[in-house]
Amino acid sequence: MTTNTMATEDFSIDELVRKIKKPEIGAIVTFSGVVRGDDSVKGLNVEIYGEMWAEELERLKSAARERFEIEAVEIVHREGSLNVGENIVVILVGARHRKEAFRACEYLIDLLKERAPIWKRMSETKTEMTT
Amino acid sequence: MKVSVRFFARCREIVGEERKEIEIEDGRDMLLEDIITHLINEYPDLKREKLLISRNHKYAKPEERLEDMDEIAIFPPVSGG
Repeated sequence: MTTNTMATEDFSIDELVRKIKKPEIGAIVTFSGVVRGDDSVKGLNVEIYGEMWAEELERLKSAARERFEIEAVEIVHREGSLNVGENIVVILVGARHRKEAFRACEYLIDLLKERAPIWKRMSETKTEMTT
Repeated sequence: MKVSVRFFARCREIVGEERKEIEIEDGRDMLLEDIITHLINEYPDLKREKLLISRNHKYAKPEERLEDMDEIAIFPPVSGG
């Protein structure tokens, strides 16, 4: 299931790109965070405080809109059990020009990591990640 | 006064519940930190965690005054993205 802000299964970035396209947008920058695997990590469990995330997300988007000249923002975060290679989070920013889109996208992922009420845990080791 | 307290991640594991409803007889001057102190007394392992607090879905400061039907949440540092 994919709502505007959360997804319980891997999802298509193309679909989100199609969703934000409009004539005034000349650049779309996409960031995706992906589950990285190594010998000890077989996947991730992601927990979200859904009600707060929905509100916090609106605050993040407003902060980005105030700071940068952007036309559209979409952010989706996965929850539940994720396998290596799956998207954890995707941020899309549409702007008239690329520079604002790049800058807003970086700003959003930094702010999301600092503020989003979301917790990742490696499936194998029971250690909470603070990346 | 009644407030709901939700726990996430490591805090939920320490408390053993996702949510607690707390009734306070005379809560007019209760602050958020009073609830936190009460919970730390009940679950001393919470003291070892760095705790973040939200009130009605917004990050909150310990000195904020509680209001009837508030939803408080207690959780460790976030790690999304």
